[in-house]
Amino acid sequence: MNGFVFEVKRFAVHDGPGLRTTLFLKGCPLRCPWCQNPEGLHLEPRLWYKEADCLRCGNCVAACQERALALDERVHIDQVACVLCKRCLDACPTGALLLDGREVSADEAEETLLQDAVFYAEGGGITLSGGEVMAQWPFALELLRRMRARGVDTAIETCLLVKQDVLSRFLGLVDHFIVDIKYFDGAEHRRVLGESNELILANYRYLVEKGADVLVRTPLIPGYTATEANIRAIARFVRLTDANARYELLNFNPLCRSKYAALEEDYPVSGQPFSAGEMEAFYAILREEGIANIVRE
Amino acid sequence: MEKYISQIAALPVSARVERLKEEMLAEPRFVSIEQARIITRVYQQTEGESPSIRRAKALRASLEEMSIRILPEERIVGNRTPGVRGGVVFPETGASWVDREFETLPTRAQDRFGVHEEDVRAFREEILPYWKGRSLEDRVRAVAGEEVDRVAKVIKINQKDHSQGHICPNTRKWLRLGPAGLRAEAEEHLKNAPADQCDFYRSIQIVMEGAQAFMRRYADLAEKLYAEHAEASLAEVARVCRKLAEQPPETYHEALQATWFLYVILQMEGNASSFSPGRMDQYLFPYFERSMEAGMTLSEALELTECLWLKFNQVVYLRNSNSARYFAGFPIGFNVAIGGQNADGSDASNALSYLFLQAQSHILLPQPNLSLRMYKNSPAELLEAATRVIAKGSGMPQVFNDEAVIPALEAHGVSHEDAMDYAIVGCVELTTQGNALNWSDAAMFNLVKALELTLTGGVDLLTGKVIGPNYGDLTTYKTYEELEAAFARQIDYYADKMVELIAVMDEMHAKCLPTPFLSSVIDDCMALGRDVTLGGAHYNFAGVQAIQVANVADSLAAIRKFVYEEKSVSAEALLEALRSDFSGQEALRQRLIHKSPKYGNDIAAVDDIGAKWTRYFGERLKQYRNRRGGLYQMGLYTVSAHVPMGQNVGASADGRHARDPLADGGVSAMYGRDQAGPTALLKSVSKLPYVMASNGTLLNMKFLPQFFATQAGIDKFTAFLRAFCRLGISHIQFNVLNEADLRAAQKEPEKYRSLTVRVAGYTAYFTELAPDLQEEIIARTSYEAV
Repeated sequence: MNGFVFEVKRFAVHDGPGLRTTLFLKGCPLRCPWCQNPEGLHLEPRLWYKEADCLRCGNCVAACQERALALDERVHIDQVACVLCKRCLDACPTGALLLDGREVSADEAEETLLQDAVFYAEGGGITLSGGEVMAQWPFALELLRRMRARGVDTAIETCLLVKQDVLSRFLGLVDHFIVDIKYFDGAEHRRVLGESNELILANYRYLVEKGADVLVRTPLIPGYTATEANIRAIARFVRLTDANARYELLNFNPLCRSKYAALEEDYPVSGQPFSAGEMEAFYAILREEGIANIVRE
Repeated sequence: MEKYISQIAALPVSARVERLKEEMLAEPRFVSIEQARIITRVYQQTEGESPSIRRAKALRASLEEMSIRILPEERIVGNRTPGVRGGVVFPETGASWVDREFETLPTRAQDRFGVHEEDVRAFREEILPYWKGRSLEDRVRAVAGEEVDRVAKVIKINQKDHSQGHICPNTRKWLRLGPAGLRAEAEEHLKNAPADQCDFYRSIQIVMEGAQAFMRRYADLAEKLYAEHAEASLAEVARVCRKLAEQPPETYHEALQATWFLYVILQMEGNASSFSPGRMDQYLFPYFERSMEAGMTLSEALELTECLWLKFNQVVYLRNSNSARYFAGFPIGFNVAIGGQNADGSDASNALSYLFLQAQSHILLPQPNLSLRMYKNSPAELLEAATRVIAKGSGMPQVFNDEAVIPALEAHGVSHEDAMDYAIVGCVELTTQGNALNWSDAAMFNLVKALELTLTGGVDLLTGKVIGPNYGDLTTYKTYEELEAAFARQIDYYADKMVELIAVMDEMHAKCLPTPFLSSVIDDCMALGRDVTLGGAHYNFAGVQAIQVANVADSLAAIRKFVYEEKSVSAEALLEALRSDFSGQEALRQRLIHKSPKYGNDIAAVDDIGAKWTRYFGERLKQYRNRRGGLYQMGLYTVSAHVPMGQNVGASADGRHARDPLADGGVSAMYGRDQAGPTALLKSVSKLPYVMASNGTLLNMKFLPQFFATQAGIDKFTAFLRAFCRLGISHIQFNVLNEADLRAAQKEPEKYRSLTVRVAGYTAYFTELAPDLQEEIIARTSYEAV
């Protein structure tokens, strides 16, 4: 079985307990405007450009037989014209041109996930993330089964937009579910992300009922999710679903702007990370709503 | 014990220690010729007597006559110069270089010292003329100077103009017997000693007289000051010093003071780089316990400890300008080891281990060089306490791995019991305690230069001159295997030369620099009646550093791939690019960097090359014996030498420009080339043969402070340490800082006077490093955990 992967992050320290390796799978059903990993949106690989590494030597333009590349002060990619022949990748001396993902076999993915096995003993393990893990759920299940067979601790990061009978298959294979709840209001969720959140909220209830280990996260995005009303509503829902719920607020991180620049796309979020004081105000909401286990890392 | 841990972690720094620290840092450091005058006079008066008697008399006179000082608030006293951090001119080992460099000492790039003009004149008139042709430096130069220079770009021979250091004396014995007891022991031996050993025992008698006099002088001075200041602690200082002149210590305060006297006197005899206290938490513990039972409080124990910690920063080492570049920041290496195991494998950590960590977290200065010994069952509380100190960014404690070190020592003939009791000397060099002359820094072997000569057929890329043998060049090797065979021959050729030259140094030290005081605290010298320089120690090693695995692995991997496998770059074109330092060949240079695997990313194909040549060098060393009859040990560390050693090497096939620094540390990746994160780096590094590297290894890693901001971060860091231990890597140390800190420190050095930074292996004041070293530190890969 093969899957599409866009990144392997070793020494992952924010994707579950202990030291972990996180495998990022491509493909996602949501279209969050603030997406931190635009390379994870689509299954198919795309040509990608790291301007900082570029020598402006023009070797790539010369190597391209499809006229998909142009050079002025930087390299421009015509993604429609590109046929992914990879000639430019070989021609580039610095690796400034690369693909934003690749197809890997389950064997290869397993080997990658086990490279750091020696680091997992203190509660660490592997995490599957995305994109959206569920976009490639058969591949994800295969990897989780293999990890389970080797006794490796497993976590997944998911938005829970998946049919319940698919989710149920993950129950015995995942030690830690890290789930995103972005909006409580269904209309807002549909308006901004393009999908309803009914399934997401129902799936969260389902996981809690099944006794799964769940960490709920909300990304604080200026101009989007980071409103008092939204955070209060999510917190209330989470507490009513699970009195002992663990809930984490993720501060906005603007570093992904450079990815959009590489794609010559505009990043629609213009805010900065929230200050310590602003974060305290959000934490106060969680406390008011009775969240017992506020996770702060 | 658990009660102690939380109590100790809550102890604040005392106001007395804060004041003493400020006072010390504010005092400028000067070159001192006071002891040089005394030594010169004694040598002039003792013409015709044996070398060991002359040295003993010179030391005794120094102990009796050198100006001494006590600050009213000091609780631990003693120094080898009245000023703190004095640069001691030591004519027995080297006077000529001082003559050449005296005027530049206040302005040179690295390790500056103030100079009093009258001292320059006095040095040239009274001291220098006597030592012309008599100092170790001049005698070495006369015997082997040309040969040392001829091979210098490949082999840096050390110990040419200073005493051999990197020694861990038997402090336990010193504490048990004191100078009076050691003197009595020597006198007992003298009764039945054969004629050729009499001078040895007599010389110990002489230096112990001096040691006793030295302690009494401090007692007298403390009494005098007490009369003036009525500071209560001065009366206690006087009592302790007077007692130690005659009797062994009993209390914790007495044991700390006795320990410090030992190290001051060792430095006055040897002026060597590094005498290390070793496992202080072990041998001081009985004294600590006794005092605690007698009513000492933990905060008093901490204040006394911190007074000693300050003292460790007051003795620095004056090196010539070249040596100061290789060992920047005048490291003197008072290495203190904590934790580890007992001989039976049980845990050795105790309340003092935690007290020392707390002292480090308060003082945050370069000395002592605090080292944590960890092993597979190290207590979680100890690792957490150590992590919290590491997080403060002083680079300490550095971490040593019993699981790697003990087997390596045993593989080199060290007994199990001695190996279990190992300590660290200097920066990262491994040693048994109290019974070894390891000669840890015999030489540094530049494998990257040897590879250059392999590619060029013996031609120095920097000058175009033939400097080495010609076993072919890159254009004549038909296969990669032929290239490897020629590389092996180059290594063999220079290893033979190196061993010959090290033997000369060893011999000259035995002739010029017998060390009776040191020999009294190194087993088996006293029993054998033989000085440590003549092989009186139980263990007699010599250590050579193989430099630098990352550049060798990356260069060979690139040559193999592009020239021999892909054949996408011709041998002629690559050689020409290296000759021209990639002039007009930036695209080729980038391909060498980016399109060939690099050591440090957990890629077997290139890591294995590094392991292979490290192993080859280690195997080669096994063939030799040093002049004292012991084995050679391989080390994998450079301190700061990767910068000057890089200046000896032309452009390399890993894409490095001519004269650029080599990879830092010892087993670290080339900076910026390890891009798969810290776990991948550890995996790569773990492939090296640590069982062969018993002289010590060095791995640098940089973390940003935010990693340690939460309990989860602390826990993840200790998990990282556990994995480091499981991987069998021998050493790791951490810089915790950010670039902004360092840029700010460059701009406003006066505001960052106590900012310390690891210069590979030890910690220095950042603002006192030369600009190129500062840049190099900033350039090292940092692992941001956010």
